[in-house]
Amino acid sequence: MSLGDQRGKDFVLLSEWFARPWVRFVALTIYYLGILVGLVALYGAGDFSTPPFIYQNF
Amino acid sequence: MTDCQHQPLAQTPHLAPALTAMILGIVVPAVFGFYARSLEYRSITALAADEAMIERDGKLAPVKNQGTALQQAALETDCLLPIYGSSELVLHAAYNRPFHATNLFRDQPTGFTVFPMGKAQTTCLIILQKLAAIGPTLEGRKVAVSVSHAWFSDRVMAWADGYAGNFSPLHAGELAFNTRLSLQLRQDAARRMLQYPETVANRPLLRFALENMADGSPLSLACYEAVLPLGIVHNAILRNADHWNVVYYLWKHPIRTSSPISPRSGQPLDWPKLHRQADALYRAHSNNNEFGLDNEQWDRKLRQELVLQKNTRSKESFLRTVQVNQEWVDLELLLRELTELGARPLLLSMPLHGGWYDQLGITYAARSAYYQKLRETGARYHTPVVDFADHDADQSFCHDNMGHLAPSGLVYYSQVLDGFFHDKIPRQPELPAPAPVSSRGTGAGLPSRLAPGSRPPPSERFHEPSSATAIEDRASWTNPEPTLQGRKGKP
Repeated sequence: MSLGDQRGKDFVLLSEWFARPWVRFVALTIYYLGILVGLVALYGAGDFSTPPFIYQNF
Repeated sequence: MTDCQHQPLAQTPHLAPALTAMILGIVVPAVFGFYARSLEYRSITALAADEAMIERDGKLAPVKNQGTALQQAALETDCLLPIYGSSELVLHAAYNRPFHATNLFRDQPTGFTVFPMGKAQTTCLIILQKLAAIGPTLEGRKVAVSVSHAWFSDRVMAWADGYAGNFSPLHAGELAFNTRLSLQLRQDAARRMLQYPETVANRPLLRFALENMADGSPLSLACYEAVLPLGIVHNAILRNADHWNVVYYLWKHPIRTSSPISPRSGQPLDWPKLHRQADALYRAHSNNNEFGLDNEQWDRKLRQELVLQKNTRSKESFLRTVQVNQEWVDLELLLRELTELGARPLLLSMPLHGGWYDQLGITYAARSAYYQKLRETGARYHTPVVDFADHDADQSFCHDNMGHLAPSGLVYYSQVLDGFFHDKIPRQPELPAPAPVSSRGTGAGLPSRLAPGSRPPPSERFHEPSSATAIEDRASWTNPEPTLQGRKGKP
C-alpha cells in the first residue's frame, strides 16, 4: 500500500468519525465556545492594571 | 414522524451546538462566580489582617484597589470596617508597622479590623467610582473616608497621571451604568471623569456613555439608554474577570495570619499606653530637625526643600487654591453618592503640618480655611468630620511635610476608627483659634508658631488623646459621654 492510499484511508476514517452526530455536536460546541471566549478576551479582558505614575508623596 | 421531527435540526446543524455554547457561556461563569464568592468570603477576614493589605507595591494592591470583589466581600462582613483613602493607608516606614490600624486591629481586639482601600493619589473622584461599584451593599454600612489636605490646597485639580494611575475600568463602568444612582449625580460625575480624557480614550463604550450622559440633551440621553444594557453586560464580564484575579491571587498567596503585636481578641486597647509607645518610638526617628520630621526624609530631601520653599507661598495664594480647588466638587459628589446609597460615612483628614507650613509662609489663619471648608462640606451632608485640626501643631503626628502619619498619628487615627465602629465619636470643639505665642505644649487644640529650636521637651511632646474634630454627629451615633480613653479630664 502506497503512502497516498494510507492517507486517503485515514481521511475517510476521520471523515466517518467526524460525521457521527455526537462528535459533530461536541466539535461545533467547542468551536462556538472558542468564539465566545475569544470575544470576551478581546473586548472584555479583565486587565485592570494602571499606568505607573511618579509617586509624589500624596 | 421521527424523521419529520429531526428534519429541522438536520437542516440547522449549528443551532444546537451554538445554543449549548451560549448556555455553557452563562452557566460556567455563574458556577465560577459562586465558587469565587465563596472563597472570597472565607478569606476576607484573614486577608484584612494580612500586612499585604498595606504594602505599597505588593501583588495584592492592584487586586484590591482596582477590583470590586474584595470590596464587596469586606462590605458584607460585619467585623470589617472599610476605610477608603490614599497614601496614608499604606505602610511608609518600618517604625509605623506596629501602630498601623491593620496591625493594631489585626486580631479584632475590640470586635473589628479595618479594611483599607486605596493607594497614593486615590482622590475623591476615584473613591466615588470605587463606591459606585459596590452600590447597594453600602446601605446602612459604616464607611470611613480619609482625605488628604494636599488634594485641596496644593493644586486646583488632581493630577492626570495620578488619576490615571488609580483608574479602574470596572469602577468607572459601574458608575456610568449604575441605575441605582440618580441621573443627575451620574451626569455630574461623568463631566468630571471626562476631564481626564486619556482614561477613556481606548474604551469606546464607556466614553460614549459618559459623553452622552454629560451632554444631557434628550437625544444624548436616549443614546445613553440604548447602550445601557450593553454596559451592564460589559460590567458583568469585568466582574467575572475581577473574581478570577482574586481567586488567582488567593491560590498563589497563602494568607499569613500570625500577629506580632496585636492584643488578643477581647482585650481592649490601652490607648494612653499606645500613645506613649508611639511617641517614644518616633522620637528616636525624628531628632535631627526641629519640625519632628522623619530623620531620613529630612536628610534626603526635606532640608533642601525647605531652603527652596521657605516663604515662597502666601496666605492669599493658599486661600485662593483652597477656594477654587476642583477636589471640593469631587468630595461633594462623593458625599452625594454616599447619601443616595444610604451609607453611614465618616470623613477623616490628616492635619496640615503646621510647623512646615509656617515656614512656607502659610499661617494658621490661612490653614484654618481648609479645616473650616471641610467641616462645612461634611455638615451639608450630615457627615461627621474628624480633621485633627487641633494637631496642626503636633510635631509627633505626621512624619513628613505632606501629613503622612507618624506612629502617634496612626494611633489617633485608629482611636477615631475604633470610636466610629462603636458609635462613640466624641463631640468636638470649634476650630481652635490661632495661638498668640510660639511655644507649644500639651495644650492640644492650639496651633503652634514654631521658633527655631522650640521643640518641646519629651515630657511635653506627647499629646494625650485630644479632641479629634467632628462638626456634626448624628445623634444616634454619638454617645453623649465620649468614652475614648485618655480624654478624661481634658477640656
